[in-house]
Amino acid sequence: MSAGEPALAASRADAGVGGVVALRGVSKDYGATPALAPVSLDVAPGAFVSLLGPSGCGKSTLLRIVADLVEPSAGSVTVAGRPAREARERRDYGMVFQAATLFDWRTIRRNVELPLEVMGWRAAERRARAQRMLELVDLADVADLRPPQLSGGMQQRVAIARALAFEPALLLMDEPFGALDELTRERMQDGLLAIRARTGTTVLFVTHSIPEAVFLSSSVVVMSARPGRVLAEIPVDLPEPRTEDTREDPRFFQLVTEVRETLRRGVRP
Amino acid sequence: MTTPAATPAAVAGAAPAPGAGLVRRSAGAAAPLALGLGVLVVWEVAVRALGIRPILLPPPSAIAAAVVQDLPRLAGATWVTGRSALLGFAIGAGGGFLAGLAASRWRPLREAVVPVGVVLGSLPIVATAPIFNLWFGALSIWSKVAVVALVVFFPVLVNTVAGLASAPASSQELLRSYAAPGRTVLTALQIPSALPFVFGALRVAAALSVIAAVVAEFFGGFRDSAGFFIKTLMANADYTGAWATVVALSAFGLALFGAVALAERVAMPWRRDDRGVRT
Repeated sequence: MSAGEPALAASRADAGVGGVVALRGVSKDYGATPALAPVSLDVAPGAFVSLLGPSGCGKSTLLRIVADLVEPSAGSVTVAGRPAREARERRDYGMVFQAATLFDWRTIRRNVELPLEVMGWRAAERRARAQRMLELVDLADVADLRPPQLSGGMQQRVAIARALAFEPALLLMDEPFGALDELTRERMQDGLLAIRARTGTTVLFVTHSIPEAVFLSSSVVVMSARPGRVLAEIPVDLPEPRTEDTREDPRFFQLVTEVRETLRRGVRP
Repeated sequence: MTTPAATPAAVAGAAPAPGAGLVRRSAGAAAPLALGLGVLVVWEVAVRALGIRPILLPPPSAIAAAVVQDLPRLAGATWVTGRSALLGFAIGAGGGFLAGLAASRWRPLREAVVPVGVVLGSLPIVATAPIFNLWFGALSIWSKVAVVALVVFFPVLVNTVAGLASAPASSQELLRSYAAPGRTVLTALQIPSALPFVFGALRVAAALSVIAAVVAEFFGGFRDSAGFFIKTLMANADYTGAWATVVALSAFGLALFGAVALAERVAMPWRRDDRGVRT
């Protein structure tokens, strides 16, 4: 499973049709500074792929390129079979940021309704969907509170409910649990997997936590230090469903070690 | 999260008890009341003990007596002046907000309007009042309204522009990820983000508008206006009467300020539980 040819290793995730996300030679420079070396990557439908790398390696930039929030300097990006711009305009993905990014002037319920409002849903339908989403993240009882009245973990669950409200086939998550304490973080990971078991959403997930990446993912894409490139894509063959026992599984520790060693090679070449 | 420092821990469901806000608010009013009362007492005692002549500083009791004695006339004069202040405030604030919206929409306009605004906004009233008298007529309410509107316009404009730009980048990215049109970004994100800035400016402008109206009246105006009163009373060495007029004007300014604060609470219900100042 070692490094190998990055592009080849990465493309194993999909049989070649392109997958939900298909990156071909995508790179990003800021002026003369390369932030991201050319990256090719496929995310198969239903997969949970983590982008893991040291701070500043460009993994968030890569996610933002997929979301069409950042323009790549070169390469092609396809999301659900369409160019990234078109996919964004068709609302083919939901996004969760590191900060919950809730609007204080809206109640929790109306924060979840926000994307539906932008999309022109009728009020009754919005409300019903928001209710269902809040039940999904176990927050129906705080629907009428405002964001500052919730803890960081609860706020991030609201952000997840909001991202899933219009049932996108793809969820893009940029270090969503990075600001949370370890226990809350693990609870959020369990919750995310439970939600995914019910929705079947494909996830592209950015993190710098090795155990988090291994626990959640069907495969972990390990990136080098800046300018980021793919060192390896490591499939995670842990039994499903992942539970508390998974975190104690010897195979879990093996994989964590494997990922860590791959990561180290990228930091100190 | 969105409010880093203000959210120490989970307080879900911890809605404040009804009335808790009221208690806190009356506790908040106690301090300035005590301070004001203390100043009045010291003032009264000092004037009497030191034998200060009323021409220099009349005691608060004498001013109060003058206010009570002359109440109908004072109220009338305050209303004549207050009317100009109110109209000018409404026109200046409304215009400043709309100009701010336009400026934030079109970058060239923003780059042009803000510096020009700063220059015009720093013009002294002593210069603008005679000019507007010339344009609108000294005995027209509009010459006073124009002075007030000019003073109010620019703080509101500058703060509106700053407020509309204050929405965090992540919130803008969120709306971008929904491919939200510009109008939605404005109404769903930028205007709510701007409200604290706009109301901050309105609070300042409320006080400024009364001052501007009075000063404008010094340069000619209605014979029954507060500005004219103060001018003639001073000329006749009726300093206690002048002070009484100032007290009546202060009451009006306080009421206007209070109305703005009330509007602020209605417009921003999410900031009602004042957890410190979050601007």
